[in-house]
Amino acid sequence: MGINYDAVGFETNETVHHVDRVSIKWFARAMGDANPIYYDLEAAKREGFRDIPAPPTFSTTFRDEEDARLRERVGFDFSKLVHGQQEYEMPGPLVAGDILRIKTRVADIYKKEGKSGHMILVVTETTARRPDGSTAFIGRSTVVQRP
Amino acid sequence: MAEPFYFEDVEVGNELPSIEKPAITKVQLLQYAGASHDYNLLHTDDAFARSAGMPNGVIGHGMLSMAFASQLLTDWAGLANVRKVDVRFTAPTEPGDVVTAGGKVLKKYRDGGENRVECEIWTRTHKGIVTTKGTGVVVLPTKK
Repeated sequence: MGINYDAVGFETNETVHHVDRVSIKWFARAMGDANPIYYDLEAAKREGFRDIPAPPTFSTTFRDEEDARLRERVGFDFSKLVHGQQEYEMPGPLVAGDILRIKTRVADIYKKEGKSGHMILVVTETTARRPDGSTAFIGRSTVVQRP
Repeated sequence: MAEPFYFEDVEVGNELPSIEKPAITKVQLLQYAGASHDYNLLHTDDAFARSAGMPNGVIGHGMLSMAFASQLLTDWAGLANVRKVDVRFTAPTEPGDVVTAGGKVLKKYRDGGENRVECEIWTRTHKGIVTTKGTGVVVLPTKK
């Protein structure tokens, strides 16, 4: 009920995000990763990074009003949502100073029979590009609306 | 950080050096909510979580479990070498859970001029509950 199956193909507007050292530091601290490359510029440079790099799942932090618009378009019932699956593909890590253009597309919506009725699975694909047009990361997310 | 190693040193079936994370705390879930901008009260408000059907109150963010799984790969192969992390969320964590991340090598192959290693990865609590299951891909240098 309430899910708009015709939202497949809907794409958010592109938004611009800046990767910064402080956000990376707090993210690494929250996940309990003490690797000095996330906190100390010299340590990062010794490991060959041009600035403080971000852990692979830092890509989850780029949330904004466009995501809210997408969820509204799909018609999610927030009280029944579960994160089912997440994938990130990247040619290398994000580093502080990166400027990313990010947009998300609804790739698929389908039903699946579960133990307690049918579940609705919504697959979205997020693409982040650098100013030169190269891909910084691709995220694929499956969110499940339980019965 | 692990010692540098090469594509040739890795065999299909090899286990990745597992990592054990400190017990998840409620403060950590607040920190993770702020750091990731995931403000779902399921992770930070016990009363809300109970009303949503979680018997013991707040549960950990799925993406925090995935962060643990990705740290397995970055600790092993180095952050610069991680190309893909892909997990299914099979169960939530709770405060107090001590999570171990582990995995093993599934496949070695060349792609895009890189020597890639695909690994099975998982995270599991001290109670034996598997919280994520998936695959990771890293690149490794060759001796030649």
